[in-house]
Amino acid sequence: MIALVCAGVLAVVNAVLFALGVLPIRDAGIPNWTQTLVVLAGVVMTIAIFSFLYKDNPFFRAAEHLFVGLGLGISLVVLWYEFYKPDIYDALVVPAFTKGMTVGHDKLILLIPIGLGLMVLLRMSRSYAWVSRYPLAFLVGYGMGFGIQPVIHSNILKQMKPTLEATPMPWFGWAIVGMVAMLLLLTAYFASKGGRLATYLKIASGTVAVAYVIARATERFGQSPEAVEAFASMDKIIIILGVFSVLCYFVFSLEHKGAVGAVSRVGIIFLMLAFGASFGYAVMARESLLIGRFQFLLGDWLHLLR
Amino acid sequence: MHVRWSDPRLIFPLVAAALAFGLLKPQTLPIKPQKPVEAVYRFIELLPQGSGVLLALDFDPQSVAELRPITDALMRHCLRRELHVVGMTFNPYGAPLGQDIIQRVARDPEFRGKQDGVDYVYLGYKPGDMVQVITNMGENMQAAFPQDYGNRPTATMPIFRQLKSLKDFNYIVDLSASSTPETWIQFGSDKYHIPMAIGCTAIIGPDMYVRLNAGQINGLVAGLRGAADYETLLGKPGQAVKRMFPQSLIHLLIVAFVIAGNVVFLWMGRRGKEQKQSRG
Repeated sequence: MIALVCAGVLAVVNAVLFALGVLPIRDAGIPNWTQTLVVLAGVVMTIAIFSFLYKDNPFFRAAEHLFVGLGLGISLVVLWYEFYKPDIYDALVVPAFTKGMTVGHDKLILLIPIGLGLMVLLRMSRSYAWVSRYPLAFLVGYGMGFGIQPVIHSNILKQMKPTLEATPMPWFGWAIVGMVAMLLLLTAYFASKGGRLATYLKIASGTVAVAYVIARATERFGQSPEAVEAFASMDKIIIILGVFSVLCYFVFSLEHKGAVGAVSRVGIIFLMLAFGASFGYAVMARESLLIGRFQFLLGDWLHLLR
Repeated sequence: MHVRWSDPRLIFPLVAAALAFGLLKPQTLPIKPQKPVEAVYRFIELLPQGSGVLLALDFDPQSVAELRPITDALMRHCLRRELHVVGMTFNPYGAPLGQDIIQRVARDPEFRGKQDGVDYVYLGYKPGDMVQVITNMGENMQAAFPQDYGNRPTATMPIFRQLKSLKDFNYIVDLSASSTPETWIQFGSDKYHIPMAIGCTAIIGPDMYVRLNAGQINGLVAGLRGAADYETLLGKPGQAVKRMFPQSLIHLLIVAFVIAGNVVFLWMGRRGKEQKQSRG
């Protein structure tokens, strides 16, 4: 039913657009039918996919299958033109089977990766599946050899440096940091026990966090060099606190009770904040895609945008 | 079909209405560029004329809504600053897109006189292992890319007289919707000590802040907001700035829904407790 409604609405709107002269799309006054068909195909596919928001329907499924098929088709074409044709067909097959041509010696080395590739295919045979382990072992070895040093350097050492870097801060800055850390730990500790004290501590911790965020975002503080330095130091301490507490949360060989439990609960707060930020960005990314599609529908198709 | 007042499908038409309103009645919002975006802008501003900038356009059509405005703004800035731009991609599906974006910017009347192969070039997609290709580029650009996207030999291109290998580039910007920035950092920027920035979709933006904090990249342009910031800095508002108003409207709507949802949740929870107590 929904598919019929969508198709009907599309047909009527397009008929109106043709009657009003909005379609076909014109280039310097001349109808451009190719461009018109491209836009119409895009419109049909977009609306077919959006129809899923109401419920699953054949219109959506047809568009989904078309997308999968097209993706596979493009992948095959890319594979052929970017890998098989230049590296196998043109380099080895054509010279080998063309009169007056010979395969260059430098190209013979290609037989090794081709052989390794064919060995992977033996995975489909029950008796010779073991052969496929050799090319995989080669790949794993190559990957490890190439990757270990840069990955450790870039993902661990380079990340540790700014985290553990000394932070210049006056004594009262350290005092504030100490008090806030104590407040957080006490909140986390008493949160598991419940009661009125836990509620008060939660409110106090929340207030401190909100106050810090507001102060951080305040323009006036952003212009003072002392404030900028102090905030940079505070940020680093927050990062250290976050790293330590999240690591503590992922230590499963200790029971999460008492001090360990309190610190790991602080870790949960940091994890939730990170997930929240990621989710916010994910929503924003999806909105951008939606805006792009709406611009296409309202602009390229309906010509309502200036 | 019966639709309840709490049916999530009621949200969709409201979002569509807000979005359509935002696009049909556009308003200009004040945009204050973020520091990571400003850092990229400042760095490009300070590069000497004729410096080499590598734009790795590692995205496909799915991410074009966010990454096209970023690429467009960066390319525009580089050409305006008389820098030499080399574009390439590790995404086979994005190869024609990269060509389209670079050509469109270069054809702008503002850049009349800029020549393909002299001031900029698009090399297209290079198949194979990304690490291996970057390593090859570090040895010799023309050996890694014997031809550009239009199958013209790179050996005779004037742009490569100065940019012989990756080491000769002054800046790498990876525009990505996947994990390619990590490989670029590890095997391109860190290995050859080339300053680098990332332009990415909003969805991977938070992951890139770790790199920014560690100083592995000197700037970050994330999502449509980042693109709008860059367009503002360039003084040429484009697609991203136009899209900020509808995006802000949807944000407000979502925040309203989150608040409403929580209020309803708390109210239903309290009512459930009261019902339990009255039964007990």
